[in-house]
Amino acid sequence: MIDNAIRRAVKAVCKVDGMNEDYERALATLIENTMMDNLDTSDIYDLLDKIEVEEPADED
Amino acid sequence: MKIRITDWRCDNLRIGEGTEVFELGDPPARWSLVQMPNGLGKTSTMTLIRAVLGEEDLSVEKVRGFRANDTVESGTFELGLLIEGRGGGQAKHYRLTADFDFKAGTYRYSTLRAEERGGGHEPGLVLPSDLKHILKPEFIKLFVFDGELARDIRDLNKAAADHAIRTLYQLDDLSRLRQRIRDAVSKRQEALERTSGRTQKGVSRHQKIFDEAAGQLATLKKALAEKKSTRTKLKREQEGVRTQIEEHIARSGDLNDRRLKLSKDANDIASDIQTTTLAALIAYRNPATLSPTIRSRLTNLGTVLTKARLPKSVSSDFFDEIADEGECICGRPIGDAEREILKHRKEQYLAQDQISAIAAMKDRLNSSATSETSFSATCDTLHGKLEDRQANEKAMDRLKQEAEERGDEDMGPLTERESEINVELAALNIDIERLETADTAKQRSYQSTAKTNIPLAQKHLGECKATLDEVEASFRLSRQRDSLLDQLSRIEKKALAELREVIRTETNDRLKTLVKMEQLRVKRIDGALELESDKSSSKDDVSEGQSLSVAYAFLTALLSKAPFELPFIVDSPAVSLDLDVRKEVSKVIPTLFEQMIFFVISSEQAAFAESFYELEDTRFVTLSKTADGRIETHYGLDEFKRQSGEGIAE
Amino acid sequence: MSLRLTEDAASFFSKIDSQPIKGVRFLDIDKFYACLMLGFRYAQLASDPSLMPAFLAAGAKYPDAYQPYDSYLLGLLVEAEIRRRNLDPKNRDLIEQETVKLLDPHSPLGLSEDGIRFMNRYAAKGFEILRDAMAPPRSVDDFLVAYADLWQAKSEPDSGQPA
Repeated sequence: MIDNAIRRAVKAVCKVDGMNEDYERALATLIENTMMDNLDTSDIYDLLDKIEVEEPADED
Repeated sequence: MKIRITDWRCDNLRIGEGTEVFELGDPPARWSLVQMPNGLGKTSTMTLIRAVLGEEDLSVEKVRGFRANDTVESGTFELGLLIEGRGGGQAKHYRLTADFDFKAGTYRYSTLRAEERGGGHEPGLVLPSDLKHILKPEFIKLFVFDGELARDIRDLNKAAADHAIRTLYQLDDLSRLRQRIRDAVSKRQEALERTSGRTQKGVSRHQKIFDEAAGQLATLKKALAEKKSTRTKLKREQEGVRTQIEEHIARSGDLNDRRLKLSKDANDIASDIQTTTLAALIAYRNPATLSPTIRSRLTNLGTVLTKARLPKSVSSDFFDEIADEGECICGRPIGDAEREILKHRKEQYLAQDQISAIAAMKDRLNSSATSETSFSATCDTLHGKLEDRQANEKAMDRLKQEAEERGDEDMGPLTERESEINVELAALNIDIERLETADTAKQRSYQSTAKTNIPLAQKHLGECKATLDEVEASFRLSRQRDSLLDQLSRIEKKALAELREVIRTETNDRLKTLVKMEQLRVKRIDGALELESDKSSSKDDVSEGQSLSVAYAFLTALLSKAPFELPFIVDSPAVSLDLDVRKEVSKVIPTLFEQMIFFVISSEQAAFAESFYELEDTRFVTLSKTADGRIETHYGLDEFKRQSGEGIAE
Repeated sequence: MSLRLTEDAASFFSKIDSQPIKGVRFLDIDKFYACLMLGFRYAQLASDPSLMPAFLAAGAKYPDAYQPYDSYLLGLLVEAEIRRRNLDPKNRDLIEQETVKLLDPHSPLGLSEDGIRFMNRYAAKGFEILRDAMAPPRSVDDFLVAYADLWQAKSEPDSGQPA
């Protein structure tokens, strides 16, 4: 029941951020499940795991 | 999915004491006009419909506000729904009920599903789940239409239009999701117990600690390698020096003979010591040979056991056996009571196994007798051998000294160097052990730390690595969370922008047919609806009628996007409209929704209610108050017209 | 719970295996035993020893070298407790109760939880006595000779009545 406008927004944001299709699908599903009251906290962890962050630069 | 209202019922509510039923047909008519004089509870009916649909929280004052009069203590509101599932199928009836206790100011919601077996009221709101989760109070206001909303969606300060869009498309869920993500990450970070790691600085600090630990370990390993290499060199030198000393001694024949003898003795003594030590250790491990004292203690214990007649000939197992037999050894029968006593009393007797554990000691003692060698005798022998070794070493020293005294000039420096090397080697051995021992007792005796001992340094490094990993994971998680939260904000913003545009276009399409006199358009939606017309680019001075038209256009545009076909219920839709506008509006309104329920007053007949007179699928309900204050409900157009004609006071 | 050396005892014996003798291994249980026998000798308990981790694996029996003597060890514990608590050796029930309390034939060492606790406390006290009497040993042979002296030299203080 996720509106196409939201789907398009997910796609656009993922494209800008250089996320792959797998991530895009997972993110859209996370949103859809939130809207359907069908979310488990582990879904959030799984999605967070897919986000790659660069190693912190050395600064002190 | 299609949701329609079939009826509602009021018991002891604002409308009056007793029961009032409003039936809209089953299936309900597409249009229902409910004519109700002011003061009979139109507003509270709307409120009650919203309350049961959204399981709304109600204040005590609000609950008491529904009360018919001071004599009634309880009341009920019941709303009948007909819901068609997705993809058609049999429509099902649901009755949503609110029971009120006016004295306590409390309420209770329940649902009755007529088609479900074993019916009865189920607590709370029980509706198909995909419908239930969007039936939030804010959303319900859109179709159980709140007149305030008509004004609010144009109020730039209230953002009601955005709110409605966000509600329908569940964009608010994205905000909720963001909060859930924050909570989930906090929870995981708390589990990591490394609060310092959530910042870049924390990561750098722990990286530094790790690097230091690694550096320390490397330093210790280097030191160990150096010491070991020194030891190897010294041992080689020691061997060389010893050979030289032996050569020097060998030059004088008699000394050499003595040296050979002493060396042979030393070997024999070492071998004897080894054998005797082994024998002593065997005697040591046997308590009976370790000391006569212990042996006598064991013997005495044996005597005690014998005197105490232990082990007893009867063991607890015996009682169990009798109890389970059913008959005592004396032939009497054993019933439940006797069995109980037997099982209970056996606790006082020692179990067979425990007795035999120490009884075995008696047997062992008797069989060993005194044939075993005593520890003290063996140790006496060992003592003697150790003394022999010492004497042998002294004799060897003397020999070296004699060789030196005989004028062998090189002997002095050589023996001196030999003892120097011995001292250095002993020190080195200790240093090396201090560096590399993994034995905790030894580490304790050296007071070792991660700065002085390699295994401890390695362990410390491992701990630092684990901490660093955790800290990095925690920091990583923070960054992942921020990244996801940012994405969700942008998605929400982008989606809202697009949806505003979709709704704006739709609204304008509808406005074209609704307001024909002056072409009004929604210029943009930014919180509220901003209007423009052909005449002016910014239109603020719209009439009440125009404002309502805009609201209808907006709402129908919006609800046409809903995943459900919803009924539309509105209170006094035409009251504030000019007759001209009414005519226009009433031409368009009937087509807007699949089911529409209008609460009207008599003055709305002209140019509005009358436009429904010719429409077939319309139900007219008329409420009136009799002279003695009772409420009467009439169905049909005739009564509806009659009441309107009479123009009951508003 | 199992048999455990005190921290001090472990450190006292720590120099010993740096000079090994071929064919002779001085085990952790040998160290424990040295202490235990002295604790039994005087029937004295240490009050609150800080203990090392257990030297036997969980669920392990006595090492081979001690298995022939396991019943002696159990008997000596019971005997020491009879002396320490000054129990009447003729009181059959008391002796019996004491045995039940200390022994558990179904456990790997034949000792109840209480029994193991007492063993550790006797050994801890025995170590205090040992440490007073000798310097940390550098080799097994030196230790055995010194330990034998310890048993021969001191005449026994007759604590409590012998069982």
